Amino acid sequence: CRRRKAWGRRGLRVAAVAAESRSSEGAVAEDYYAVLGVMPDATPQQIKKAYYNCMKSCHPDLSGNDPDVTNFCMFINEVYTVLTDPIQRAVYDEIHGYALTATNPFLDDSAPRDHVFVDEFSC
Amino acid sequence: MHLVTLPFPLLLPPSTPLSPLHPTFYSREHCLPKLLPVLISTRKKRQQQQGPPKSHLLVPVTPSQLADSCWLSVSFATFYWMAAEPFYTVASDSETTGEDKSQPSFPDVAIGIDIGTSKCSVAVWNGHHVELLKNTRNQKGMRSYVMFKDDTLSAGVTGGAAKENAHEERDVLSGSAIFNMKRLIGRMDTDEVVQASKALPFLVQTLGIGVRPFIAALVNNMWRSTTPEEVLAIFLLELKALAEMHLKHPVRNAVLTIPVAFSRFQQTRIERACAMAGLHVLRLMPEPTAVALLYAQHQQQLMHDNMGSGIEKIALIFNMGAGYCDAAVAATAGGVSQIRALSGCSVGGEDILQNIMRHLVPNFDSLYAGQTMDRIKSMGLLRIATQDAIHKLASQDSVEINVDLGDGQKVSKVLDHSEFEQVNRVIFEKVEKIINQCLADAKLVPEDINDVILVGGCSRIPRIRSLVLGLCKTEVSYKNIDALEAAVSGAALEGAIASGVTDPEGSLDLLTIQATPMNLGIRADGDNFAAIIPRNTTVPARREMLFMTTHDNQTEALISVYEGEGERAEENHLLGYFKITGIPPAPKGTVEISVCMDIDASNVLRVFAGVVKPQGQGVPPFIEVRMPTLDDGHGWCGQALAKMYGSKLDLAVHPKKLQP
Repeated sequence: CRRRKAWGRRGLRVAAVAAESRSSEGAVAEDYYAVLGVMPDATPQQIKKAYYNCMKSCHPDLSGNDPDVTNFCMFINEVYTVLTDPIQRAVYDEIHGYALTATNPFLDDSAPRDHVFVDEFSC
Repeated sequence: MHLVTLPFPLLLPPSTPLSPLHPTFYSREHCLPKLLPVLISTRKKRQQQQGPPKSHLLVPVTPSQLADSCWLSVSFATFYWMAAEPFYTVASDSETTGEDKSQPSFPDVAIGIDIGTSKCSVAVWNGHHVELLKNTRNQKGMRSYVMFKDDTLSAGVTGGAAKENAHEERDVLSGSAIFNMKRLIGRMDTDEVVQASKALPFLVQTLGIGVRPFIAALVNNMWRSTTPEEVLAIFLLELKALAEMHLKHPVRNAVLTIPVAFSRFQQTRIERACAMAGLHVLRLMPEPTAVALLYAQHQQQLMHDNMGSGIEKIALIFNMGAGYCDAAVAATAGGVSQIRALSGCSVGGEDILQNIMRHLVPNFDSLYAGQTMDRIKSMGLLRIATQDAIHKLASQDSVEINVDLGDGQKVSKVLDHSEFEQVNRVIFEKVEKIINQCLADAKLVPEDINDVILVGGCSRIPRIRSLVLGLCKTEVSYKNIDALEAAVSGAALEGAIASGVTDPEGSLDLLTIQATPMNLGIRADGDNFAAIIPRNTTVPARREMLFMTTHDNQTEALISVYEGEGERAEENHLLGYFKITGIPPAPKGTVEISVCMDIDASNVLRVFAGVVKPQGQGVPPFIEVRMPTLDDGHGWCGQALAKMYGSKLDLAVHPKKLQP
């Protein structure tokens, strides 16, 4: 359940994430879904949309040639490569506990509701 | 008094009186003309934070001074066709470091340049839209050549200054002009494109041993040697002067379009030519990706918030000019254009032209072996007649060719479509191959394609159109794009975006996400090629691969970096090599060596390599190398290394571990 806290709209705060991912390599950078700001059960379209939004804020063409941001952009490209390839995504999900057998916390009544992050369909 | 670019660094000797230490050196503030306020106001803050990338010099000189000091021993007199008022250019100067204090106060928006094999064009973002610049002859597409005549040089931008001595196509083919530099640049004399260039009316001499070809233009009945880089630099200098005259401020940065098939070595040659012309290359953009950016802008204008509704459009862009043929698949949504796949080859209109010439004159090679004045003239006549016939065939069923080649040789023939297609069958097969490869790499089927965009001069050939449209299972091509202006317009858009310009109306709210056109990797497992960054990887990218030693107690390993599509290393372009030394002695296969490659948004390739297992104090530090390091010779070095070391320094791809 620890990971659920990480689901946020981080895609909108790329600069912050870029700085964060540098300092705390493990916590943020590891969670591919959180980095893009999507749910682990996101559709390919949602992932693509999040990726495009993210690239719009971190691509060196638009953000200057800052090495940290370029590094973050490389990481986002890697994340996107994994999440857009069904096989690589399945492997990633399996390793990180996001496999199809996992439940969506918003649809699961037993999951604790902290009302910090809400499903866009339920509000 | 005039100001002119210092064509750094090759065109001037170090002792030139144009040195910044020379008394004629002027301060920038004194020289600067009024600036365009629109462009300044739209620039982002970060541009100011960045400061000037390099020191730049403004140097006033008189034409006579320049002529005296010119290393090429020719005068640049023809550059002064706009001599009514002095103009200003800057020269990139990496040697002088003490002159940084003058801040550039002019809007530093990169211009877009499309250097075509046959024609060039230049475009700029003028604050509202992309504007293609015209030369004094009112042309947007300027013939790519440089004329060497007596003591003057003139490029196709001005086309020979005043009207009375304007160059005609037959002058360009007289032996005094060098053209097709884009086909020759960065190629060795074993290359088939260089071999084919021997049928051009200037001197292309080859030795067939993998060195640069010898290229020369006819000046006063003598062959005077030059290089493709030098010719391109002279051309770019004129192009830059044209842009500066229009913009009324110095131009420093440029985005250039290049063919997909260009190797990294060729790209360095383009950068070299730009540096000689005082231009800093902000981006080198594969031609179809520049078109994709323009398409993204169109789509953005058509549907304002398609990002929200998630409508994505897939375009296949096919570009075929005189020298190269490229294809790209781009996915576009919300102003973002993502390049899914790229493919290209060095096949173009020049090959079609030569095929038809050989078809018309079966003894072409023996007839034109050895370039005498008569033969050059005769070949020029044949070229013009053939070119004309190919153009006419685009709109009519058959064409009659009647040309007197002199010396009793006459060509009289009716050429129709089926014959034309038969003669160029191999070319159409290659086109088919690159389209199919591009679709396969993008993991798409023809039905997924929303728009087929055909650009480049050869896209007018009916067979090419029907072939590409047929492969994409569609009837019509995308209409709202000019086949000859699309690439340069896209480059100008990228120039504005990457320079940090924003547009209040949102028409620069765009992004191209590029992909690498070729595999990048190292030699491993004997003579095999291990791709570390596979082609069509989205950039910026970083990939790592693990290797292991192949001999017991191996203390050194050779990292040879290659680029290309071949499975064997030697089939690819060697970009450079270096050794990892001081590897702790251990049984073979137990030492792990990591090779990591990264490509940034400016397409710079770096290779990092070092020992990752065992760890500890006894392990040498990692090595970082910026590629390519090779300046010449390509295959030669690879062969020499193989001869010298055999398999002694070899590595093998680490088998078990999941590659990171």
